Amino acid sequence: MTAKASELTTLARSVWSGTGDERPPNLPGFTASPFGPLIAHVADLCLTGHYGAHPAPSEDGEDTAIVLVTQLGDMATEAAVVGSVDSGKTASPLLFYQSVPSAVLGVVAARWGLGGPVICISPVEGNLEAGLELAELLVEDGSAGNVLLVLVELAVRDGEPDRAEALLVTAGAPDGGDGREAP
Amino acid sequence: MNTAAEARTPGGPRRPARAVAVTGMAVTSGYGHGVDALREGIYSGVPAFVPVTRFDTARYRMGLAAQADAGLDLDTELALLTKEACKQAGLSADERAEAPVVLARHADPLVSRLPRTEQETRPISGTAQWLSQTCGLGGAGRTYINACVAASAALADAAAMIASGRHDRVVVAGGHLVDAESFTTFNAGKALAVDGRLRSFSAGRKGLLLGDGAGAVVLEAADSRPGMQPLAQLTGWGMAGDAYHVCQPHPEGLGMARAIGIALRRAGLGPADLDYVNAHGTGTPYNDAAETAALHRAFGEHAERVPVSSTKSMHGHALQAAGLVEFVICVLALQSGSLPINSGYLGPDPDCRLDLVLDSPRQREARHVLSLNAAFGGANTALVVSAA
Repeated sequence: MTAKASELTTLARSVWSGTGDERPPNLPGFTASPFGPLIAHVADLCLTGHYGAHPAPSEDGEDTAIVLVTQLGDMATEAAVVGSVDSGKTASPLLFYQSVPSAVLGVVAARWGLGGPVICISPVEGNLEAGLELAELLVEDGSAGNVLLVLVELAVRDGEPDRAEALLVTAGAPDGGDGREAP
Repeated sequence: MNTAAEARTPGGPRRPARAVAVTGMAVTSGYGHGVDALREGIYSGVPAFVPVTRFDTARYRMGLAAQADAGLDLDTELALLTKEACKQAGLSADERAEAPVVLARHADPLVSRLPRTEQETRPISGTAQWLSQTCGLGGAGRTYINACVAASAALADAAAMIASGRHDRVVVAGGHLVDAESFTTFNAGKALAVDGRLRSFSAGRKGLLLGDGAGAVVLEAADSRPGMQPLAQLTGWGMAGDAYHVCQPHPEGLGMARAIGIALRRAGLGPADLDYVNAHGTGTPYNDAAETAALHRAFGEHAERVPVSSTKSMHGHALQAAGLVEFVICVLALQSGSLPINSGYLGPDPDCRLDLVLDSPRQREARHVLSLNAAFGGANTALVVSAA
């Protein structure tokens, strides 16, 4: 598909800097995996960097989409679900919503008052490029004025860090920029 | 009534610069393979729910679902359906090679049984890549994994990609087959209807039932090639969030009402122009009351005049594929002039005051119909499907 993600300005950006087995702050209700807590944490950091405190101003919030981008998804929660199936044990009721990638975005949206589209995608490659491409489509289409992109991948090897990043982007390319660097 | 939909973005939804035509569609549901099987099933009014045989359900609170062939393989079925939809659209090999495929599905549970280091070789997008190669399409686009709005969001974004001129045509495919993993989580969440019926918008509704669903739809710019024979048009799309809760819909239907308003404005229509609403209607107490509130908020005085049904009451909830199965049903309603029923109805619920299509299909020449879906995290989608 055409990579076309140059008409955006990055308003704020945050990166999860945990190393090794370091975990993000606990997120009540999301216990089976660091996936949800990571998303909520980097989203909070990013939005706090731009707005200072929640919620976002209503004129911004209602017009802000959330786009989650991940290639492998929440394999830790998936493992918990298949563990329940394979063992024959009753699953935790928390898995009912934890197993749904969009659920944690409801936490972020409620806390910050974000009322735009809520979308989760898995691209073939390039989480950042794919996220920016969709963000630009949403903005150009009039579906959102701002887009909170959250990129997340859990580690697949012991000792490797989980990776998460959040960007708040808006319409309009910065002077001479490509929309991928914080102004 | 002052609707939230009216107060949306400063720029607001763009009217499509190019009309988006639906030129091919194929589907598999609990009624079996094919659009004909789905048509016969939903217009018979007989639900497709049967005892699940694909896996052992003895440990669950109930064991019914709208299961098709127990031996179905999702990837194989998606390839078959995609080829059928492209054939109906009449796409040449060159035209298929220009069309990316966007997909809606959940992560394959088999991958999570692999050792962690092997999981990175099986990304969720693997199905889209394989589908593109197998069907001669123009590359794998995004795979939408946002649960019950995955397919409808994929349709909306595909329409935007065409309307904006990024592509002349996009193939949208998606699927969910009832499996032990989804049964386990829905059972744990006490979301399954223990009385064995999905009774959307009805008094005494107990919850939902799952259903197999897979489909493929070809969307094209209406002016992109001669000889096109559109089945319908996708004239409006809207997406909005509730900003309310991790898994409950906003009780006043704020996000859904905004999504409806955006879709209608994009289509240049008002509530009075709609001939039918295919509702999300999961049969859970929360959802159906919130969706009714959304329809009242978005439609105002017209809320109880527009015919509504949730066909999930017959084909079950196909999760990531729900938006595709129900999109096909919307096209069938436009083509046949017959609105499918809301099955399993026991009696009125004061929180669900709607003009429900009950007992038998309602004959109505339809020009514009609305398909609604919602998902955990407060995601809402609305699609306006119009006659060709």
